Amino acid sequence: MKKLLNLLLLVGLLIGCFLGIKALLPTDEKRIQTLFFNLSGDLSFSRDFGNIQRGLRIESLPGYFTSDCVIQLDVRGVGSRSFRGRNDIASTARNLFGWPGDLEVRFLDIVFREPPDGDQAEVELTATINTGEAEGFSAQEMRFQLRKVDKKWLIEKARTFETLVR
Amino acid sequence: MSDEAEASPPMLQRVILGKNPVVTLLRIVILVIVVFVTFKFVLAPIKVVGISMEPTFRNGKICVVNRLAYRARDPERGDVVAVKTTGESVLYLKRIVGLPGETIRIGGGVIYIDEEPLEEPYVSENQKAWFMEGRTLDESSYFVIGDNRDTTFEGHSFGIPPREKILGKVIR
Repeated sequence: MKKLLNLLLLVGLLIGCFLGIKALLPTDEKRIQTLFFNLSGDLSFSRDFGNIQRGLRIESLPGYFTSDCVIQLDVRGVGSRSFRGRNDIASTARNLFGWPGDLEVRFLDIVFREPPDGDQAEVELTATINTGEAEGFSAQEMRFQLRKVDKKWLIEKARTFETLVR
Repeated sequence: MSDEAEASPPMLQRVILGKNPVVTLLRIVILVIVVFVTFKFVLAPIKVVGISMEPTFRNGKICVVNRLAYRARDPERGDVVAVKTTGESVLYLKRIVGLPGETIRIGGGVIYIDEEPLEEPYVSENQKAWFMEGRTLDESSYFVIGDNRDTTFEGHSFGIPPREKILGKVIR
């Protein structure tokens, strides 16, 4: 009985060590998922946000992108637009945070088209935007190309795509 | 008081755990497994968001997708299906109007399949006069579209998903 308990304790300890190491040393896939989780958090805000909170968010957003990033958005029924570089991102963020209502951005179903290999990775995901109004929900499939810069994953390219191709 | 009454567990315990706690636990485990298997592999509950499938499916309606519907047979014209995006968190709810190998075009709001007009009793009355040039579907693709044609052509999501993107048939 004592041996069995010791064995169970040992197994528990090994599992604990494994989970601890996994948490302390996340894989590149986990890091990229965390990047999108944090980005969605920084893009979302409520109408109660003050100017300082909004300003901090605007300042933080360019940090998710490489200095030479290219974002190409083509949303059905809305139009197309592209952004280049962090200055463009910051200026778009200022416009975004001027929105007087609530905004919830989520990045769902992240799929690795090209798993992290060295300094490059490519993911597809479904981005949702919810303003909390009756017709304020929309979803859009997006493809991201990421690059590792100074051990940190950053978004290099992003563009929209459609499952329902016309 | 009889011996039998004295031996039976207290009322509260009987209500919560039943006469035999082991059997109750077993029932709970079986129930959890059945619910898990049902909603993981058979049915997917969904909430309709948007007006693209009105009047058939109104905004906010809760319905389920039968994931097994197309295991034994192919999707058919008129079926309302759920189409996956990059996963299953967000699904497109659309009606199949074009089958593999067919040529589809839209003229004056009417859908033509191989140049034959398609009768669509489910479409909203105030449909707009949409136009789309003809396109022929490959052997693994379907043409799906919403029932609400009272919207702008540019703003309405419709198109050609491959078969593997169709999650299942929507049950009203």
